[in-house]
Amino acid sequence: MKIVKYYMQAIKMVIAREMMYRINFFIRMITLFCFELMGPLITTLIYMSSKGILGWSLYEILLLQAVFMFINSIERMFFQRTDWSLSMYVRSGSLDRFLLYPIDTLTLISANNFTPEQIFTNVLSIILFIYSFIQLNISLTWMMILKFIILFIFALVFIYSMAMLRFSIIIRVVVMNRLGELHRTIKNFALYPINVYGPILSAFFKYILPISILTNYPTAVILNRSLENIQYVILSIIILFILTRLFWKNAIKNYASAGG
Amino acid sequence: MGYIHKLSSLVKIHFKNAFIYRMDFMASIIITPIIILMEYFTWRMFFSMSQTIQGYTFDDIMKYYVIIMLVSHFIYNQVGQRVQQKIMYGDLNQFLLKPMDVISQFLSEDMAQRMIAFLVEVIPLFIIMIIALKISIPWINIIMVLISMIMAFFINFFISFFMGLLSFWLYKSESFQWLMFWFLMMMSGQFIPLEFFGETFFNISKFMPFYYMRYGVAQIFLGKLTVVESIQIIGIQFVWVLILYGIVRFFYGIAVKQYGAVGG
Repeated sequence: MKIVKYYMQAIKMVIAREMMYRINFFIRMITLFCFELMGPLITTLIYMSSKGILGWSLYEILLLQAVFMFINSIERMFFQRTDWSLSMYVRSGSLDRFLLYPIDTLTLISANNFTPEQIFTNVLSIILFIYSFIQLNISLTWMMILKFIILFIFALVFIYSMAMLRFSIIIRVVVMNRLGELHRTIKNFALYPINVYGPILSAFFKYILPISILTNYPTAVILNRSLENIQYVILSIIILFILTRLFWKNAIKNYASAGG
Repeated sequence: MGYIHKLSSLVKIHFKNAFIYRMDFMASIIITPIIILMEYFTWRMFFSMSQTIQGYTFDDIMKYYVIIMLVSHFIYNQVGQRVQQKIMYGDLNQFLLKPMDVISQFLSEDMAQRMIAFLVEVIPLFIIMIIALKISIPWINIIMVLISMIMAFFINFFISFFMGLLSFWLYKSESFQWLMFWFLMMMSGQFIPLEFFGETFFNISKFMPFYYMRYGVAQIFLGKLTVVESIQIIGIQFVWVLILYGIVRFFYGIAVKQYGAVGG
């Protein structure tokens, strides 16, 4: 409860800060949406110019990309600015201040760097999801909804694990501006069905770095497709979470303030 | 000669600065092949049922994306954000006091960064292109591509610098810059070849500088243009460089007169 209370307080402060430059804030909101929309737009343009993709209709792909947009916007809401800010905190020595609070450091930093403008993308991803869903004429059952929610929770655990991994690396190497870009590049593989990446890469994205949980499995539930080897994917996420948590704790433990 | 000497000294300093954080370069080396791999698989998926899409074969589209990536590495800059920060925090004073024009000082930093990018990003990508995609480029095209890329660098630099100048009036202009960045990427063919947006869009884009930042260069690289057409592209790029330079000079002149530093 203490964390939720702190988070809400921090979000209020972030929004108040953003409202100081309202035009800047709203334009950023539109810009983020434009960037996010490129995936579905490119897919639609290619579909209009070609015979489509083997085994996937346009609306099935759009549904998958709507799930991607939704999960992606949630991740960005909590962790987008944290990469850069954490690097600044380490360089300036102000990370020490965060370590003194009786709240989990990662939560604290994330709350202070909350990105409210992602809400716009979030809402639009839901609209794209509903639109694709209607076009596909799917009948939804309670079991499907339940499975979707469970997989969505695991997608969030995966996102959190990846954030811990990134932040641990930043604390160790101080400046790695392109780490976020590397993360985004890898994550973008989830924009399309994972099986198109060939047997080796798709196995990698299922069991080693399970980005398939971000879109493929939740979409498979809605489309009534097979959740092939889902138990191994979930196991892989749990292992990843434990390892990255240990890595993060270790990074914090070995952190030596050097700024001033 | 004095100007060139000052410029090269600044380039050397920025070159050394950029090498402090080596992990960034390692990330750069990893990111490019990952993006190529992703493009390879996604486009293979789109070509699973079609032989050509908008006149592009699978090989053409792969070459297109690698070339676009190569050009993007070469022309990339963050000058808009840097100008904004200098204005916001009052650090522009240091630039104004130096015995060199402010635009040239920013330009020197970008030139240094692009030289490094040329070594760690452009050359490896060029080698990948030659070996993996078996692209053979005539010497005359290589020379024209190089000139065209340099022109594209200046077009991008002046557009970004202009966006940074907005901070003199808007104070915080980063969102405008990001919106412009997205617009540039779309209009210059970074996301997808411009033909995909339809004929009207394609024809309109030819009258804008963005077309000549990536798409035009890629067409020379791909050998889709004759020598005369390639020279025409370079000529238009040169005209855009002059126009944009004039615009930047004009607005910088107005902006700097009203500038008052409040940082400390």
